[in-house]
Amino acid sequence: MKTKMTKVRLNFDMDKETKWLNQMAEQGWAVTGVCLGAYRLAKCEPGEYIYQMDIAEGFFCVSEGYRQFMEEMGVEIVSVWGPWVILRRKASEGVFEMYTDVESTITRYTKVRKVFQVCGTLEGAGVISGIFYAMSQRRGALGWGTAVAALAMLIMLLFLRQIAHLNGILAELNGRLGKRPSKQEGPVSAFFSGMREGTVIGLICGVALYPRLYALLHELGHCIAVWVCGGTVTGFYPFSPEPYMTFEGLTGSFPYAVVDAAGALLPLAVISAALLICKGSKKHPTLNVFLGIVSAFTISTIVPWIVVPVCGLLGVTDSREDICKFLDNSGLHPAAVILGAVMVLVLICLLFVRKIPVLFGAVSRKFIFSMEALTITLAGVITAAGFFSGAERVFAEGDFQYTAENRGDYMLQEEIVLEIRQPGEYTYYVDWEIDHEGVIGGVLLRDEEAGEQVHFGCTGNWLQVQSLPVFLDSGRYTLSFYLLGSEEDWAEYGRIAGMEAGDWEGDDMEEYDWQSDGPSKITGSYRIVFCP
Amino acid sequence: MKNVPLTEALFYILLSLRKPNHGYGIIREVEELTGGRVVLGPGTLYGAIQTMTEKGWIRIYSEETDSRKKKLYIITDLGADIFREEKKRLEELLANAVIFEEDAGSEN
Repeated sequence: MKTKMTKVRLNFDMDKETKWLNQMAEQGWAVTGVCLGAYRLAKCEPGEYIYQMDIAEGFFCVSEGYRQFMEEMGVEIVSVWGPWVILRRKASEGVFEMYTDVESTITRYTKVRKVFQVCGTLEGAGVISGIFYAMSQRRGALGWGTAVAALAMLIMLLFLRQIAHLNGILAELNGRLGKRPSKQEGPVSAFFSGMREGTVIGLICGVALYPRLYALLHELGHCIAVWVCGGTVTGFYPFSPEPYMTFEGLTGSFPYAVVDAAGALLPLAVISAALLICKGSKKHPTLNVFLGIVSAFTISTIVPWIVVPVCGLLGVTDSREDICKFLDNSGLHPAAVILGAVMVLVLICLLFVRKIPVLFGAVSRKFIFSMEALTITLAGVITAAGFFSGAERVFAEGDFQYTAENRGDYMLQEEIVLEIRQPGEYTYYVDWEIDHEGVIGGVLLRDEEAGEQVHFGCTGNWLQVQSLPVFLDSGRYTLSFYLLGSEEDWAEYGRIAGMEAGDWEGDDMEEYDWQSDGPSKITGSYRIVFCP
Repeated sequence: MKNVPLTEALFYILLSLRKPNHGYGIIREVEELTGGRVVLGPGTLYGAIQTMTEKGWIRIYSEETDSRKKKLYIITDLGADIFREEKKRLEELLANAVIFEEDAGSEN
């Protein structure tokens, strides 16, 4: 006979959950553990246990005091999962209710509601970042971003429904204490019920403005570093969907390292200063909560500075990331960077934790801290996942193949039309293989609207053409591949590409052995990468 | 700050902490005092103890390093003052409640 089983169910209504736990116990199945909606059950005497649920003091944790207290009461803590605690007691010890008076029941439901409110707000952050991601130029961004935003929106609506349900329960309980039930609430005010108006405004502003505010400070950090190092800022686009800036006039690798790091450092410096100054006057809950939310998110931006060097030590790099560029330019050992980042993280976290009562008022310090720990962990996981999945910012890619009957004919091969929506620097790579020596491949990048040549490059067999980062304004571009099999082809290509004599290493070409007979084939692939 | 009226749970917890008592002892005593009418749930009691400790109405009586020993709590002077204030309030309520019977009686 089976003595153990696993059941999967997703439910975040605590009362329904408790009812189900007790139904299972009635049937002789005692829940012994939970993980991500999967319940482990073990056989027990029918009705052996009474189950109850409670709200944890933090995420995935209860204090030693709570544990001890429950043990003393003969109550067993079955599982602590997320904000929920599942408890049980032998039915032989009598009736088991966790909350026995109206006041403490109200406190409990208010805490539950707060969990949904905070998590719902974070889902709001998910919706916003999903939308921004969808607007960026990364490969597949539209699909992924929309999916993330839609999912976050769905979860938010489910939470909202739950909050409305809890509001109903709380109104009924308050009614029993003789308090007048609050008037009918719309969905938005229902979501934030029980919070002070200023807190709500701070919360919404924090979540909504954080991405733009961070981008602004980040790019500003780069700019200040460029100025300090004596360079010139040539472009500053903190509000484009993928924020970036351009600069010139720096020499040596050290200034570049400073510029790379400054983007991350300025926002951290600003929030540290704000946290130090913040006295938390009760008159400005909006400001306090706003600072709290923004610093909570900003702190998690240190995490990539730990994860990326670790990835680097494991052999995974992406040359277009600030952090990789910094590692390259500074020549620092990744371990040193990890150590530095961990120190900064610990220091700012200490400062943040000390200020939690000031920033978030009555919300439990433990709860905020565990939310922050969760955010930091998530940031780490997302960074690592992005890295290992090869998160190069590929804008377009594909394969091409061309067969020429007679080498010696001038040949334009394939034309790829690129629609650049976001101005910025792009690099293209063309990897190709040509089946015979004596044939040259050429690439041209043209701005169709301006009718201008942007870039060209050519190479013999099996080599790669890599353009330097070229600045592309929004508009239509074409990338054309040519197969050059004779001196005439070469001359034609030179004419199209607008090469001046001496522009190219043309002198060598006079001695080039064209071997211009028979069919030829080129195959290859191209990749166009956006470099922020 | 307004400390009274106390909730029934807080009132009885303070009362049973006039001498050192532990969690389970509080539940038993309150149950006995009320003839089984008030049985405190572990969640209610835990929350009340936390709140009252924070407010300084009660304190830990014995900080046993041995974790198997039960934690004992006792009322503080502040807690005792609040209890007396509540008692005064309750006496007033009771004294005034007499009026109800008197008036109800005189109408007959």
